[in-house]
Amino acid sequence: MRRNTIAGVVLFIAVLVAALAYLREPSWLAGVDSGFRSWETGADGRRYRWTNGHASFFVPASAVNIEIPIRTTFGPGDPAVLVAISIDDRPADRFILRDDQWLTRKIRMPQPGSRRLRRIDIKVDRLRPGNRGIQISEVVTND
Amino acid sequence: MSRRVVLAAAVLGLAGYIFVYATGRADPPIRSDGYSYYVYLPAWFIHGDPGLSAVARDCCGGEFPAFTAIIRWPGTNQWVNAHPIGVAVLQTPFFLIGHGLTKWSNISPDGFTMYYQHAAGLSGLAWTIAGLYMLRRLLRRNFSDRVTAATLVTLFLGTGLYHYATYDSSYSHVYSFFLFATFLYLTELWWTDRRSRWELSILVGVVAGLIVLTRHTNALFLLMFPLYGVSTLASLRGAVSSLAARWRELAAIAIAGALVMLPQLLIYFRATGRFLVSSYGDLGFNFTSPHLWGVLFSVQKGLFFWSPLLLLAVAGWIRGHKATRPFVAGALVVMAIDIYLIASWWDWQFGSSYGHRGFIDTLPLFALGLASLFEWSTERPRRTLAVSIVANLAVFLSVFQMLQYWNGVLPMSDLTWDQYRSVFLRLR
Repeated sequence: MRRNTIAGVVLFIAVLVAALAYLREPSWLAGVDSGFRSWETGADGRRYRWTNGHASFFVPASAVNIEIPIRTTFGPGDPAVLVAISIDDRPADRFILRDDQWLTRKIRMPQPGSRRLRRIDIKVDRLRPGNRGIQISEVVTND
Repeated sequence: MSRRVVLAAAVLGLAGYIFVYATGRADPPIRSDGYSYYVYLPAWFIHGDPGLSAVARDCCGGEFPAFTAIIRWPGTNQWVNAHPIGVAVLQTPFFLIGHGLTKWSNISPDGFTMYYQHAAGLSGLAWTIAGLYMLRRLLRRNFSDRVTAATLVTLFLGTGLYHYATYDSSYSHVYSFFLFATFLYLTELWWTDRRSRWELSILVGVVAGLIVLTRHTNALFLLMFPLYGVSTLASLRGAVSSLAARWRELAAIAIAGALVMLPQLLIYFRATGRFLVSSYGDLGFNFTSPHLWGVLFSVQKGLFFWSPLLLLAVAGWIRGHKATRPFVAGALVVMAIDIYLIASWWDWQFGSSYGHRGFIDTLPLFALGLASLFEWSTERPRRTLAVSIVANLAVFLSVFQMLQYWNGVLPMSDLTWDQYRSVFLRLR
């Protein structure tokens, strides 16, 4: 009985450790994002996704810099939108969208750590109607 | 056998949960009402802000969307959530595991990414199974193992319980289901075990407090406690004198319950300057025009229309059993008021939902009636056969219609009879 209990505990710990080792940076993590709506195509043919108030995605840690095309819409009386970008929770860029033109922000990546992926978070200080944040087009990573 | 049923329910529930999310049948779990029940957790543990403003800034550009029913309180401009903190309290262990995994994998720790979503979703499933476990303990005090097993299986699959344990598991209903089952079990134990037991009294108080914290109107269910064993005026007097004689234990229950509810009162006070608020704003009850037929029998959301199995439970209550008799007065009072309250709510269909979700909370009461009927049916083979056929048909219909709902064949609300007939027994 006691031997079975010990075997069970050892097995549980082994499975737990293996699961945690796997979940630290599984291959599918690169495709994980949050806070985005579905892809749409604008009148100029550019593909983009609306964010919510907070969106995140991963880029390879090998990237030296990334380019993020961003815009938002401006209806009558709509105020400017403050956008804050962080990399792995460290502030990386902060700017204001004052018109509805596409703006590409080029962000230099900090030195990579032990991970193969870096997390980019984008937050806005206000939403457009329908709980939409800003439009993000395809992100370019430069190695 | 009934123990294995609880285990099988856990496996079946997990399979259903994986199915609805892996096939894209349901949006991520933290949605609709589930959002506002859950939103306290990122506020407390990630932003350290019980006032919810930090979550609003992080998720939503400073203002919660209208669907959340989180409103700015007039005068103070502070956020007040229509939904209380009980569900979040019960989700806490799952949230902390999800938060740990999120940090470990370097996913955005904003409270709404994938591990948080499924921590909240699986929490509802886990508390449903815990509810079935407590129900099993309650039923086994008075019913055979076979009858208990049959009751648990049919209740899980023949009502909306399976749906609310999987597809819509972030709503409050399965949490209330667990708490009600536990409260009934503890109530019977408190009254039948005459020894003074402080631990039991404190436990009754904690569960009572959690019931109110999970859904304020469910305070009504606490009437089951003083009305236990009451069937005549004389027995009512007996119950009153019994309670008076055990006043110290009653005080322990009251103190434990009050301590559990205190954080909610403080949250209300901080936001509004008052300890008790109607946090639904302009939404409310229409007591003069209750939709009684609608909530019980209509094609839109009628309880017995969507879960005909529960008619057997009603028959079981009418027939009576030594296990149901002590609960009769309480069940009558609680169900009568509960039906009236649900039928009087401005949105008596309770929005987009499968069957009438308002009654998932009180399924433990129906379980007693169902077990009573199953016990009666075992007295003669013909009865067993007849009741088995009816129960199996009811379970089949319920599971089939749930799959129709998952497939989008049945609309989420305002179903008409013509629509129902046109898709009857069609999965696509």
